Amino acid sequence: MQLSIGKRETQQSGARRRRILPSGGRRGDWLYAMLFLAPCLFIISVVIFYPLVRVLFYSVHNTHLMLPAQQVFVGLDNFKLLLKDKIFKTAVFNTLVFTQFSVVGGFLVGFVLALLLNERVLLRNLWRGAALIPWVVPGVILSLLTLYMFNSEVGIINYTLKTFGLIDEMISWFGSTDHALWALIIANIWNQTPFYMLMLLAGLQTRPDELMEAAKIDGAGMFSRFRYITLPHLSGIILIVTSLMVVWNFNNFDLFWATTQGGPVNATMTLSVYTYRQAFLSFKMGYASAISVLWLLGLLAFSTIYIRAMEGDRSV
Amino acid sequence: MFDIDLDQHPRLKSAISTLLLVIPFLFIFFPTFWMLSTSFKPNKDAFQIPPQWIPQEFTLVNYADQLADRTGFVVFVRNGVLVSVATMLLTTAVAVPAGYAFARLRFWAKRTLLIVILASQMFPPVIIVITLYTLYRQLNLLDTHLGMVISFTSYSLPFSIWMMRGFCETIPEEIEESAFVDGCGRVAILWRIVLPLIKPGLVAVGLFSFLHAWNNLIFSLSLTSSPNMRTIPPGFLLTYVGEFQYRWSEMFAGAVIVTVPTVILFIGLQRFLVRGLTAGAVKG
Repeated sequence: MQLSIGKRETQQSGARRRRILPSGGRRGDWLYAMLFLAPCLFIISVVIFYPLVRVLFYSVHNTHLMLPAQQVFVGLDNFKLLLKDKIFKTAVFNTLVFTQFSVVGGFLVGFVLALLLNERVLLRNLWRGAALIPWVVPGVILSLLTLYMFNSEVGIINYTLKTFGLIDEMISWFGSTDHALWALIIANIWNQTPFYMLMLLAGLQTRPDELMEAAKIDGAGMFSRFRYITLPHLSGIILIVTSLMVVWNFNNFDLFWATTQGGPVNATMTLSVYTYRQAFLSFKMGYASAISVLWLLGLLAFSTIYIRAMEGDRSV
Repeated sequence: MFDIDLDQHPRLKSAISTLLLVIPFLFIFFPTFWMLSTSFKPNKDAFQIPPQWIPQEFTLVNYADQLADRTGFVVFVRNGVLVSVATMLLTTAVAVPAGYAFARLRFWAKRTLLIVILASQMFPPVIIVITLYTLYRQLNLLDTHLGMVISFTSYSLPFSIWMMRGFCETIPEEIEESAFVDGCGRVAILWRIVLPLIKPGLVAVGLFSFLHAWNNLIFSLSLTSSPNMRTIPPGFLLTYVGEFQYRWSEMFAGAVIVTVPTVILFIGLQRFLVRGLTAGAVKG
């Protein structure tokens, strides 16, 4: 298995003696590349990179969302305020908790599903298809479903827990600071499990049978085969999927905004929600941008590791 | 105790696997089942304790209400279809040449460019949307379908390009070379040779970008203001977490209507998406 972005052509060109294709040499390629990439670069620059530059600019200004003309340069004041901001710290903490438990939970359930659905089970294709349903449910509908199922009085979750004697009195999931985040994590795991399953199953299907057979003949047990063949074979996919999901979960907005919007008492306040509230409810563009800048620095550190990982491991 | 090798007993192994599947599938199916069940109940029964697992009074009134457009449902769906199809077409049209360029052409800063595009997938939408809002205000793109389509497209592009690149790399270069010898230019090669060979890629990118636009909340919520511009996610949110809160049955009937087609589409076409997602990652 090989993971890569770019660099492969160097390996290929060694093998190929003569290159017929380049129409007009490298310069021809460059012109066509410009032509082919222009639309994509235009859209991504306008919608993603230009706003990022503006975030930098806004973060050192005192900008009001609705009155952008009245902005004043304030230097690093926004950042100084931010470092003293307790809610900001809560938001970072909650985001980390949410991300960590969502990824670990979703990965474990998804992995178990993938392993089981890779066996010759009854009606296998039906299950493989049906398992994908949660992934397709839109975030907003997932949120409304969560609100209903975790409702403290009429919710099915409390009712079931009580019927089985697991709780004595109804849990006020979204009314208490202890439970709100956990309800959202559970809902999120439900939503994302299929994605892990889908990717890991695709990985399992490319696992070479000969290797498993050879290991069997050599006397390797079921668990050692899993440990020494299956896991190393999947390591590339596991790395990509989990790091992708770390970032996506870190950025998650829908589930929070459509349920608690950060409450109760900031118990579900995350970076996404806090930034959005600062910008669109308090109109403090400058402050929201300062949060964004710190966030992007963290992301930069993470994505450096991510890209290194995507590039590495090509020797296998 | 772990020495039992289940692979020596294939029937036992598949029986155990089938049994073990019950637990995760309870978890997977239960919320879906509950959504369906509630959508067929009169609203008062959605509040009943103990809950009715199967609706005692089976009714289709919630579905009829939604289709009669009492809360703007039909408008949301119409906007959703329009914006999602447009996003799908635009994303595909832009991702195909870009993916091809990354797979085949040799040019300066190619690797850096690919990394930059891939990295843009990771930028938090919240950060983008606050500044995009001010930009759109200057460009008069707020509250327009076009504005939404552009923002959805930009977020679908990085992944779509990555998938397209993977698909283009699977085409043997000899085919393109022989076309070149026959006098085809790059554009003709892309259009006449490559495009027909990457149909699975087109399906994968189309499906991915369609679903992305269909389900997106943050851009459509922030970049539109009038109710008749709303797509399904902000439409549902602002209707059922506001004015018509606690109309659970009606809400879930609407949810079923908008989810069922995408579920069918997704399950039917997922093998293309999986190929796309793993094409860039795994070379078997």
